[in-house]
Amino acid sequence: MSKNTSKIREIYCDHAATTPVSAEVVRAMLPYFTPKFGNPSALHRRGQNAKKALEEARSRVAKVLACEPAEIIFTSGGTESDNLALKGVLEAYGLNRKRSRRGHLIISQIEHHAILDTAKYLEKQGFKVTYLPVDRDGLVNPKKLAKALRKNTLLVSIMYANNEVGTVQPIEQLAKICREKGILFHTDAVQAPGALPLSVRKLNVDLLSLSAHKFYGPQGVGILYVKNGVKLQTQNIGGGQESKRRASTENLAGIVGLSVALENAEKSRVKETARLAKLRDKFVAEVLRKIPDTRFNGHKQKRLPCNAHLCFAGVEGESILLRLNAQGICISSASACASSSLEPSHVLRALGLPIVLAHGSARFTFGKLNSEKDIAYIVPKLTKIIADLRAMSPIYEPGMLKKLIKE
Amino acid sequence: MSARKTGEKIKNQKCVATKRFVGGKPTGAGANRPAGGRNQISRRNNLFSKPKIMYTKKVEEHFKHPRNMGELPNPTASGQAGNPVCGDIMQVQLEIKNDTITDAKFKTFGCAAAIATTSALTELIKGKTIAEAEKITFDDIVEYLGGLPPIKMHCSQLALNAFHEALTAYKKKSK
Repeated sequence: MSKNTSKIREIYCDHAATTPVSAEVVRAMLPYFTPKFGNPSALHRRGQNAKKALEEARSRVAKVLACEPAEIIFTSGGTESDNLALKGVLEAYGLNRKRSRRGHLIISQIEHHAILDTAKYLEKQGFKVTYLPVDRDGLVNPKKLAKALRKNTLLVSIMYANNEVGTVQPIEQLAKICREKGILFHTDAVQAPGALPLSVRKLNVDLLSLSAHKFYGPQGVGILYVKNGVKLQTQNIGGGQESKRRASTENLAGIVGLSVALENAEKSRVKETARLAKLRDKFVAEVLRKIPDTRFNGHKQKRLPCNAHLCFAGVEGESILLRLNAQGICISSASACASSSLEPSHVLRALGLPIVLAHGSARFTFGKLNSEKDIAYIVPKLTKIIADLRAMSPIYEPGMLKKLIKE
Repeated sequence: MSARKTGEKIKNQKCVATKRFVGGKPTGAGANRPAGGRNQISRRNNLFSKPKIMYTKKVEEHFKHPRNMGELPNPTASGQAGNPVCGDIMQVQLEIKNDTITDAKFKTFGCAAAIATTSALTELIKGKTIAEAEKITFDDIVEYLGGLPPIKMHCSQLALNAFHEALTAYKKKSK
């Protein structure tokens, strides 16, 4: 190893994990730590000013989502929003007079763990859960959803865009099926801001989760949109904040930051989407041209513009991740070794990818921090790393991809 | 193993991690062997006191610059261990002259820990007689690398399994 003491250039390609807080958002947040601090529940001047700022932020968010301000609940993030949506709806509608749990929930097999594990928890509590399969591109089939609906189905939750492979679901269509039957529909839209339209009216959804740190806002703050008239069993019990639906003193600075970040994401959506899609397409095309036995996963068109999810046959994801890391390139991998479960992610398994191939996964998610220069930097480095690891692999042979998977 | 075989094989395999190592401590096991036996890593250390995955300098060094990587032109014996479902396959090849391991090479499909442990193993066995090399344990490899994260402990076991398979093949051949 050349002992290179000079600073390695860092290239951040993990925007689906988290994003840096934009300067404008930080500027908007700072006054609410001090001097404009205050508890919105307090009746004095300082408290009421804080309340005003809170409600202004709520209105800004409501404008982007095309809903009423009263339909927005601020939470601590995507995970809490998802928990509140699933548990809140099922417990509000699914408990009968004897407090026994009855009702049916439908989710897809590729949901984020915040949904998946909450559904498993609810299943243990006595609710019935259907895990809808997806096709090899990660799409939910609307016909299969229609078939899975039962008389006692209380809620359907299907994510807007997948965090791993980037596939975007036909939410409008799926939600319409549920609405026609009078069944509530929730979508985990955490990956959507800045990339996909967020109007809840257009989407036909009854509940929708967002998390600020995915769109250049701060960590630790999120949103749950709940359509007027939808009952929700409060999970956080206490001081009665957020119209008694989520107690806890509001994270005022975070909420202000979120509202500004969401506005910005929506403002720059069309332009940034085009830029990122071009960047991503160039990256994928170059990688596929230079590195044989590589698969580009997820739906080729219906996908997040920032997401390039690749599988390299014959090598293991954690090795790719760490070797790229040594070159200053930050990515993520859903391989077994990069997680603690020793099995590839549930998403890749649901897509039906051969497990050997799934072990060699690498997710590049581009964002504001990336430009074409980065692509030129990454591709040769990645090409060499894959070649080195394949030379070391006892299972790799040219043409391996075709033997593993028939397309 | 050819890729075709791998593809067919994985359908019938399940990933079974050696759970007994999970929850151990990510430090040099040999330095402080618990009373429970050489292959048991102490559970006394708090699982949450260390990050989930953190490699020692030595592991990183062996991962970035593996020793003895490749294949021998005429191996006396070779062995393979692991399972593509778990994402680890190790291959160890030996050149043995007069019961001494004169050369060893490895190939590994797997994570950083898997690569580092096979690399470390080949360093440890080279130049040793078979009797000496046989005595090398799981703990010796972990100790040589300055420790492994608990979740990765099974990797070093696999490196050793591949080596023992090669030895068994050699013994069968020389009988």
